[in-house]
Amino acid sequence: MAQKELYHILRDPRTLVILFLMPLLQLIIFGYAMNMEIRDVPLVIEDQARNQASHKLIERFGSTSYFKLLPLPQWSDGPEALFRSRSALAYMTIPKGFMESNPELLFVIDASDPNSAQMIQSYATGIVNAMTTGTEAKIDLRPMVMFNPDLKSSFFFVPGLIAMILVMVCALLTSISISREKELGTMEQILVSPVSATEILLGKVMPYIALGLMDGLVILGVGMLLFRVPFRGEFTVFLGFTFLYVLTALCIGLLVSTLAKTQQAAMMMALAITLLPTILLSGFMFPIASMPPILQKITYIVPARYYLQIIRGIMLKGNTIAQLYQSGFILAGMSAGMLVLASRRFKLRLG
Amino acid sequence: MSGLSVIGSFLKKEFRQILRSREMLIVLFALPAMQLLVMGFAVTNEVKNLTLSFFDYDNSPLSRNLCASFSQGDRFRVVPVSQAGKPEELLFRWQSKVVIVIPKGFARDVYSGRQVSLQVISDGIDGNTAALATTYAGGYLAEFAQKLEARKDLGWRALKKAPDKRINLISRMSFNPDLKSSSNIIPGIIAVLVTVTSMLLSAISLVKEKELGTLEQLMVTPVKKHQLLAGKLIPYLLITLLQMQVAMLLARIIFGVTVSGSYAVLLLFSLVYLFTTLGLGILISTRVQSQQQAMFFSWFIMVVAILLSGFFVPVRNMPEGIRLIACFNPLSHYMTVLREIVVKGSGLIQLGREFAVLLGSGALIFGISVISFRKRV
Repeated sequence: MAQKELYHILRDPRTLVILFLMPLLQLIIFGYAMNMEIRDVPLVIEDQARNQASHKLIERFGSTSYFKLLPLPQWSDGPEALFRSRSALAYMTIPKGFMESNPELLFVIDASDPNSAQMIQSYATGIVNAMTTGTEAKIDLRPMVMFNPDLKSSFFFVPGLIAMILVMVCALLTSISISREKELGTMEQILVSPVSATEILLGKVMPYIALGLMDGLVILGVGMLLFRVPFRGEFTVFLGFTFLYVLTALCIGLLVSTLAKTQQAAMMMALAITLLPTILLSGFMFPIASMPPILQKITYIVPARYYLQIIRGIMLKGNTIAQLYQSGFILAGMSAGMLVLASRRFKLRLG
Repeated sequence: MSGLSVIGSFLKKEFRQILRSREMLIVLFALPAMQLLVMGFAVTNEVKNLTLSFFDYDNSPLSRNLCASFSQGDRFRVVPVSQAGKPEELLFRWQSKVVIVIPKGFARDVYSGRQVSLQVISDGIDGNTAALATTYAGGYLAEFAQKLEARKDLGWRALKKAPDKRINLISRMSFNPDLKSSSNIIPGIIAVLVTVTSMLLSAISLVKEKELGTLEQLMVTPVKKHQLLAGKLIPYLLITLLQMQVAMLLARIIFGVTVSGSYAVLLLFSLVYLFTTLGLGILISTRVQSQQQAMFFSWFIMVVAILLSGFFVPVRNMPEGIRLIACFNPLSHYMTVLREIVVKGSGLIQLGREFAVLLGSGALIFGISVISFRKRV
């Protein structure tokens, strides 16, 4: 049974290539390209003061890597026109008599991307504040970043990609494969054979478990070699929890296949129930705490949420079972619940 | 039969097939609604409600005041913790994302004008969040220090007045004064939606005919290839445009995002862009054997295109090499166009370069796809 399924998988090399290539490509893009920090912000300075203070200020802005100073265009229609033509992201006006009679600076930012706008604002504030002397309350911050001092995005994404690929292979592919047999009527043929239902299911899902784990390990390996993502915890603990997660994913796949009538429907359902929540609602990319309360509640039923905490905890923090057992219990509970549901529906359909 | 009437009867057949299936209704209405709702709210780079704990070794009114000041706004959610153990432990046990350590003698040093350092320990697993957390904390602290100088609502001994050398930076946020992330994300979602729908539907529809063997039947009839393609693609072009309108309407109702530029220009760009995506749909259909493969293929293309489009992270933040690759990504240009028109109200003049690129890529990809479609048969 398992052998037959394996043939099915291997017969379709394109899908297989995509399965291995996609997470790797994603890993590389995430590792290199997902950089929130904005540099070389094109800044136009309109210096109406032309005095010592304004020259000093301009020099300060020019000497950082945050800003790239642009000359004021000949016929300037104001900042908005510059932002529309996308030649500048920020526009600073130094008024006449700067620091002599007027300490104010006008700083206009293109806020069409609010995130970048906020960052630009904080850069400018930082530069201006550094020029200001004589603050009495001298409180400063000594930042310290744990687990990932260089703030590398690959540390964040490698565990997430492993969680994603496991769900993709174990839930998405299994559900499609089972509903294909149902669609073609071959499932009934197998069911009347002397093979027991458990054996059938095991045979069907085993190759996918192997495929998923292999894919996950490839990502882990590439992440560790190429991006130097650490693995601080115990590998056996990692394997144990991963197995639990794979089980949960398989149970979702089974449940979907009992609900869907056709491959197409299974594909759509599996995408909607497994893959999208895993990407959007698990904390894979977007912080759960920033979401509106309703979405935050929904994330509690997304298995990847728990697995992500587990795998990030083990890999990056060196967590042990003591910190992670709660998440593990929830995953176990989820799989048990879905297994019961799926097997009930499975029997119902045949009976 | 004349060429046009052949296309006409094709269109009739295709539309009938489409309208018959319930799935199309889902594609038209449920899909945009779902995507907008879930992505519109979930996809955000904003960092809010960060769990923050204090290790207040000073425990003076001033330090408690400082702690309380961090609860204002929605940046941080202050989590009370027992002061036993080490601050790092809290991060290790997932209890909070940021810990600020206030040293003993904090208040005394502040009032005597000595330099005081607070340690901010953040969980670096999500590098972006950690960086922002430090920035935010610095902002709160600066505000606190300013209040302290101004002696406002702290009811404490006044500090010696600093010589007034402060530069007052007045920021103004253009186009989006409330810094709503939806006005950036929503046009992005619509761009993704347009791409997925047109590419996937056209690919799957063509592959389906192939799977069922009806494509071969069509090939032996005197119907010309371009008639066949036009009949197949025009419905999906219209459906995508219709779906886009539904999405924009929903965006206006749910998020209050309106188009500040010209609607006609927006439609023109979308029409031009659809040649690229429909062309990709045809190309995929010539390369795959089954609907499942078509789905995987289009999905693969989508993922790469989305990641390199500036949807999540602005392209300008990416390293040089990747920025170059992103230049060849039509989705990236289309997304820029949508954002500029929706948010800034830009017109054809400002978007001339994008127009040329999209026109070129449409002609190129559509051309190649039509040729390769012909060759296969």
